[in-house]
Parts: sequence; C-alpha cells; structure tokens
Amino acid sequence: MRPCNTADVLQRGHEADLPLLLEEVTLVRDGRTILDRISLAIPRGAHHLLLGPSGSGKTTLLNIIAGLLTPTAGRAQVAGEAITECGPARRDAIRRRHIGIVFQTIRLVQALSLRANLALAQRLAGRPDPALLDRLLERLGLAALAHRRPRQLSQGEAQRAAIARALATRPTLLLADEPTSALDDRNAARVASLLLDCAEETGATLLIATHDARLLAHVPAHLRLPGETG
Amino acid sequence: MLGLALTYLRDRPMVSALNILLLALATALLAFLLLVTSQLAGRLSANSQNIDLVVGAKGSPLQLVLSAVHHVDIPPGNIPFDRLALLRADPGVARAVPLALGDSFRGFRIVGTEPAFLELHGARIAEGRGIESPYDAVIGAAVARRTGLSVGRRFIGTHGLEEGGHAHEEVPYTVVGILAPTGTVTDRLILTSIEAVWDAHGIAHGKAPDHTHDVQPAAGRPPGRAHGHAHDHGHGHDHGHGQGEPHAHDHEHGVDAMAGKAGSGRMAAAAGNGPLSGEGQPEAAVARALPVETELGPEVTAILVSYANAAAAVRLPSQINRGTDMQAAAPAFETARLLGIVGVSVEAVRWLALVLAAVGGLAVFVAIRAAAEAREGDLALLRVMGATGGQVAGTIVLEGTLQAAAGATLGLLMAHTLIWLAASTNRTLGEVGLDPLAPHPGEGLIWLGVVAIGAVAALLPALRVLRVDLAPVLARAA
Repeated sequence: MRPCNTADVLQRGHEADLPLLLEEVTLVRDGRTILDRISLAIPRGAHHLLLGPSGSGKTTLLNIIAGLLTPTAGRAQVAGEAITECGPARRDAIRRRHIGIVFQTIRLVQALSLRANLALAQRLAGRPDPALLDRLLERLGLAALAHRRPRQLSQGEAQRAAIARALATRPTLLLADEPTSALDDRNAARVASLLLDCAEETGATLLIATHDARLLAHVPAHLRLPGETG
Repeated sequence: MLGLALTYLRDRPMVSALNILLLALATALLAFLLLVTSQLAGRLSANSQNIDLVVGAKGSPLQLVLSAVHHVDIPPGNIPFDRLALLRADPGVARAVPLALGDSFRGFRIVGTEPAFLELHGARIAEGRGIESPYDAVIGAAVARRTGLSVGRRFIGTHGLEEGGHAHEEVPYTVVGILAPTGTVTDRLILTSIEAVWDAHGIAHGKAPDHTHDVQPAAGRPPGRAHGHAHDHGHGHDHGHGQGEPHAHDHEHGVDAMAGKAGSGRMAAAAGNGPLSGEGQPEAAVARALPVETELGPEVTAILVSYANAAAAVRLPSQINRGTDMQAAAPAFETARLLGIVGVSVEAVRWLALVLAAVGGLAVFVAIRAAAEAREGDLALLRVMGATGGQVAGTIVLEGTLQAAAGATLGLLMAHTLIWLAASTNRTLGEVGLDPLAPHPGEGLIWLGVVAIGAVAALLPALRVLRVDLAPVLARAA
C-alpha cells in the first residue's frame, strides 16, 4: 500500500527537508504481516491523520517512526536521519532532537508536576526554554494548573498537558496516538484545534494516528491503513 | 536525573523512610562497634604505654590494672610504701612510679604520685608548673575543661573515687599546672604528691608538709597512722564489677583503702621459696630483701614498673606473685584478656549488624523493583521523551544509592550519638574516655559498604528496565 506518492513529494524538496519519509516499511510478526510496504513522505507543515480501524497497525507504524520498533523491511527517515538503520543510542538521540509524542493514556511522568514534566522534556532534549514553556501552558489553558501533579488533572487537562509536554522541545515531527479517543466531543474538538494551532506555532509537522472520525473536520489530509475492524 | 530520583523517593515517603531506617540501624551498629572497640583498644593501649608491670595488693590482676593504669575500677588494696624502694633496688626495674589513690574531685580521681608519672605517660605541662610542694595539684586537660579549675584555684578533694564522698577540708589543693591533652588517662586525673594523699587520710609518713594541720591519732587505728581529722574513714563496702555483679572482695575506701589489707605490713618471706631466689642470683634482690614482718607504715595503692631488661619480664612477675604477698599484673596481658572477653560479644553484635545490613539491602531491592514495575509507563515515557536507557536505569540506581547514603549517614550520626549516650550514662565507659566526636577511618568504609549495598540492590531492577521492550509497554499502558 502506498498512502501517498512519495516521488511527487520528493520532487518538491530534498529528503533532508522532509520531517518524515517512509520507504516500503514492512513489519511481519509471528508470521502475520502487520504493515505491508508502507511508503509515505510528509513535507514540513503538512499535517496528516493516519486513519484505520483498531489493529490496522497505526500505533505500530508510529512506534517504527519513533524508533521504538524495528521494521522487518524498509526504512523510516525523520528530518533526514534514518531512524530505522541505527543503534538504540542514535535512535534515542534522533527522537530527542526531532520527535514529540502524545499518547492516549501515558501523558506525563506521574511523580512530577506539570511544569516539571515540561522542564524535564526540555532538559532531556538539551533545549531549555522557559519562555516557550510558559507560552505553551498559557496557550493550552494550563497556566493555573502548572504546579499540579498529573493525578490532579482531569482527562481533558491531562491530554492538553501531554500536548504541551510533546511540543515543549520544539519537535520537527509531532506524533499523536489516539489523542482524542477518550475525550468527549467538546474536549476532543478543543484538543484537536490546540494540537493544530500549537504545532503551527512551534513549527512542528503533525501526524495523528486515530480511528476517531471527529478529527477529519480539523485535519482533512489523511492516510488510511487497511486492516481488521473492531 | 538526581532531581527525578529524589522526587520518586519523596513520592513514597513511608517506604523510603523505612528502608533508610533499616540501613541506618545496620550502619549505626557497625559503626558503634568499630568506634567503641577501636577507642577502647586505643585508649587502653595508650594508657599502658611504657608500663610493663603493675604491682599492688593481691586480688584480681584485671582489677589492679584497671584501677592503677586505666583508673576505672577500685583498687584491690594497698601495699606498704617501703616496697617501692625494694622494687627500685631490683636490677630488672628501670623505673617504678608509686600511686596513692582514695580521693576524687567532682568524679575525677586524685592521684598521689611522683613527677616521673608524667614522663611515664608522655605528658607535659601546658600551663603553670609541676608539683613542688605536697598540696600542689597538676590537673589533666579534661579535668580543667569540665571542672573549670585554673592555675591558682584551690579545691577540696572528697573521700572515695566516686562523687558524693565527704570533703577533706583540711587538705586544700592548689592547682599549679594544667597538662596538655594526651588522649590518655592523664587527661582525666588530678596529680598531686603522695604525701598530700597520706595527709588527707591522716597517715603519718615522716615527711613534713609545707603546712601544718592538727594531727590527732584516731582511736583504734593501728600504730603507725595518725589522723588529723575526726571523721571515720572506715566505711567498707561491696562494689560491683563489669555489669554490676557483686564483687567478692570487701573493699575499703579512704583511710582503710590507704591502710590496705595486703599492705598490712605482712609480706611472705620470699627468700628460698621462689624459683628465682636461689643463691648467686642477683635478680633475686627483691625477694631476699623482703622482710617476713614489716611494721605498718605509709602505703601506696600500686607501683607502675618499667623493665630495665627483657629478663625482668620473665622473672619479676612470678617472683612477686609467688614470693610476696603482693601481686604483679602485666597491663598488656590483662588488657588483651579484657578485650578478648569483650570481643566475643562484639563479634555476635557485628554479625547481627551484618544481617541487618543484608535485610536493609533486600528491602531496598524489593521496594525499588516494585516501584519500577509500578511506574513502567513513566519509565517508558521518559525513554520516549528522549532519555537514554542509561539515564533511566541511572535514575533507579540513584534511588537505591540515595536511600543507602541517607541511611548510612544517619547511621553514623546515630553511632556517635550512641557513644555520647553511653559515655554520659555509663560511668565506666565515660571514665575510659570514649569520645563521641572522634571519627574513625573505618567509618568511611562502612559508609561506602552500605551505599554499595543500596546501589547493588537497585542495580538488578535497573538492568531489567534496560532490557524492557518499549513498544509492548506503551501498547499495554495505552
């Protein structure tokens, strides 16, 4: 499957300028093909949804892009660096430099306050930026909650906090895995628009893996993975 | 990472505190044993330096050494003063220093002796001068510090070696000198002339003091002693040894202690009885010279002897023990015997402390492993945020190390506090001179050992985290 024409995209710019490039990414596990020759090139600022039913391999593909899984075949390149073709230490470094991730449930380090989470993310990335931190908290409506622990936040607040944490390092590529699935319509809409706005503000390119069709109203560009339903 | 480790520790305060307490108890026990045994051995060794033999009244040799060398027990009795001259006449004796005990001032023992006592202990006068007249007193550094006595001050000794005796108001001492600290028993002693001690107890000695006081023979006293004061010194009492068990000998303080029992003037004739008293043996001078009956006269509590030659070490103790009614005890031997007795208990407690340390390490291991499993999602998120495996594992090792370091540090503080408590509440330990502020290099090793236990206990959960496959963890958590 080829969700988009990589050749067309590549014609418009150099590989190194692309936040994300996937070439024939394939993953076979226990004899079952989970991802079959996925190719994809996303230019800077072109936000996309990665749609597909549960079990279609959306999270798996995000893990490969983040360097948390190694594909059986093919390669993934983030900001010009081949994350699938290097060792764990280099993968950590690429992730640290270029990638922000928002999960559905794992949002923040539980022992730290919201502000400390964001500060830790910046320190780990080697880019301390208190001004950006304050701006994100303000922009996401979390300034008054900055000293709260994650367990003291509501679902919507925690998800917004996770977005702030992921964007605090000014990532090239922001990956979001089912960021709105657990939220009601109002919170889902708010989180989606904030994701897009903040990504724009920080210069991140957004790839949201979801089966939540509500997000199509916010991010029309999408790629669809085939797979099992349910 | 350090901040994160501290945060995780604060996040579960009860478990962290319990682990720290366990490790602190183990450290405290180990350090306390180290400090007590090393200080005890060091003090006892320093006290008995240059003293090869202690000669005193018959009784327990350990008691004689403890009372005359370490000044922590009550002496077994007294011996006639003339034995000093006999010992000094022996070619095997390089130095013999007499001691007359019986009184104290605010719990510090007053020791009647000679200037050679200072040489024996390597003590020097830091302030003032030495003893020139009988009622001069030179005090140890600890005495000066604790009593506030200074050069020129006068004080009255009290009867007995412990506080609470009646005052010898007729014998006022004048502080003429203060000794520099030596780290030995001299720090805790008040030195004066033998004559002053005799005078305090009304013992006639034929040596005129530089002041006069009314001397009235006390009724019922044996001839040869005169009392310048009317109070009755004859208050015999039982005293305890070691852990307070009743001591067999009926000890008499003060005048009676000075009069002594062994030193009642009766000494067995050694000539011809001892193995070393044969003809043609010049070393047997002491034995030959000792009279069968000696008239009661001035007495001393003990004589500290330094040998002139190695042969004296073989001959003199047995000659005195077998051929006279005095006893000779070697401080080195008695001290080693004492430490050997104490050492059995110390070893048992040391094993207990080691078991406690192992339990502490196990507790840290269990707590950190459980915590690492509980925050699997957190650790995975840290990796996703860009933390390396080493950084995440390092956080876990730091948690164990910090707990152990806190426990070890607290334990060392507890050990020194325990020493202070022991020295404050136990008179014998206090008299031995246990110093709660004195560190020992071994404490550093104990600290490092306990910290290593914490680090190793945390290492296994940390290695497990290193091997974790992130994708399944994130999938599970999601």
